[in-house]
Amino acid sequence: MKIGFVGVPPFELISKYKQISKPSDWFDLDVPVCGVSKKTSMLYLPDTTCSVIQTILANVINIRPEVILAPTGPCKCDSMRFLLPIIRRIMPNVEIIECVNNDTRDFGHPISESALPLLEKFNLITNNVLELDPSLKPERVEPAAGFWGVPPYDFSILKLFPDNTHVFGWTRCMENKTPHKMDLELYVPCGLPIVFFSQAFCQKNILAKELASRHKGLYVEVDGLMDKSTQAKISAFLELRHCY
Amino acid sequence: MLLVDAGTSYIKIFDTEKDQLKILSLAELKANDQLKADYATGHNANLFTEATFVNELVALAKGAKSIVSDKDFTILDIGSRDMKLVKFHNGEFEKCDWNTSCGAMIGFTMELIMKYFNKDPDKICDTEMSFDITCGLLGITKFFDNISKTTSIDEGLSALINGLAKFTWQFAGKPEKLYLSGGLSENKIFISHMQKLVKELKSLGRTVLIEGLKNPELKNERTINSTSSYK
Repeated sequence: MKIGFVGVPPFELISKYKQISKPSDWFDLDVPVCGVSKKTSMLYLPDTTCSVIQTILANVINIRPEVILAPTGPCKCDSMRFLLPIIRRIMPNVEIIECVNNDTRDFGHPISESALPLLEKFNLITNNVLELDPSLKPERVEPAAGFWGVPPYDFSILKLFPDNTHVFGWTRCMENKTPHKMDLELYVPCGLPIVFFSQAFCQKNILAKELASRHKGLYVEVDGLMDKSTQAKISAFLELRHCY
Repeated sequence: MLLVDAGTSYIKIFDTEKDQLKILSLAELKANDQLKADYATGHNANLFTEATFVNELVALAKGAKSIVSDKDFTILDIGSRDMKLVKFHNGEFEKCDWNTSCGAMIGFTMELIMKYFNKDPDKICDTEMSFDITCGLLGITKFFDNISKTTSIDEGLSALINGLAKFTWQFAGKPEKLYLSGGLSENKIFISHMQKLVKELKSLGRTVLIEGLKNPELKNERTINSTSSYK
């Protein structure tokens, strides 16, 4: 049975479906798949739709999961809630388990605070959504910089940061398996140079811009792939704030 | 040593030994096969394949700091394609921004439309009329829409530049004092509109990024023909 999921489904739901499926049956629909163009979704979505939501619909159309675990509400974003009627219409045989993740158990966020390269941190966090007993607990390092936000559509942005960059925002909530926890999403330490990232057309832009203004960070909005100027803006910020 | 600020439309080349600055249009530069430089910054820096690349915002920050003696100041560089902002507080770098999509093409739009109507920017009337615009290209749409009604071409051009000036000021965070650099810092009508918004406006001309390249403590350099990232 092919199971697709988005965001971070509740612990109980993952446990239930893991008992009746094997690991290779699971597909993270948020993640771009090689050979699947997000533009497949443009027949159904407006141009001003965030790349992650476009990717989810393109993956659903191409992978054709039999079950989709679909968190909506504060643990994901309203766009997911609005995407579900479209999936129901174009793929009426898919079983959609609409849910809200209100899990309160903190799993911790050691990867976010480790010395691993930022790209590796994100790969580990996004690949560990289904892992209910994370055994990897790397050592904490003092941060030189921070990255706040959701996992970007284009991971190449992460290569610009030094290894001792801490992860904040929704990605930290993701590692902690509490994606609805607003206080954790809002947390950033004072004085640390932080890039506040948001995918273009995502509601989290409001939060990213406000936090960047409050903490003298750099607000960055990227639609799809990162362009040369955005890359240069981030590099300049990190250099001028002595993060390298 | 040859220092180059290779902007979108104009290339500034400074020879440190001759203490000589040369400004070429991109078309003039492309006709010249002597594309040599020691350090290069700017949108077209990749044309100088042997040069060491310096990030544009870093060049702007270093150049501004070497010219401006204030401890707290904001500098905005407006080129053809984009706007770059750097803010210092207590003599330390505080903030940077780079507007390349919305709000972009301001300098290019003004040059294009002036040439199209064969107008001298210094002779455009100064009106209070202003278009509410967020980028050069959307500004052109509003301009043509308005001149098809009752607005004259000169009034429309002035309103367009006034709107672009307002957008620029907002992008800079509405400061009371602002240093301007880049091609538009020498445009009289643009400056006139900016002066209505900013209490103290100082133009530093077109060579602030070149000043930044003179700073010997350059970090984060990469050779332009390298395919690796900045790190």
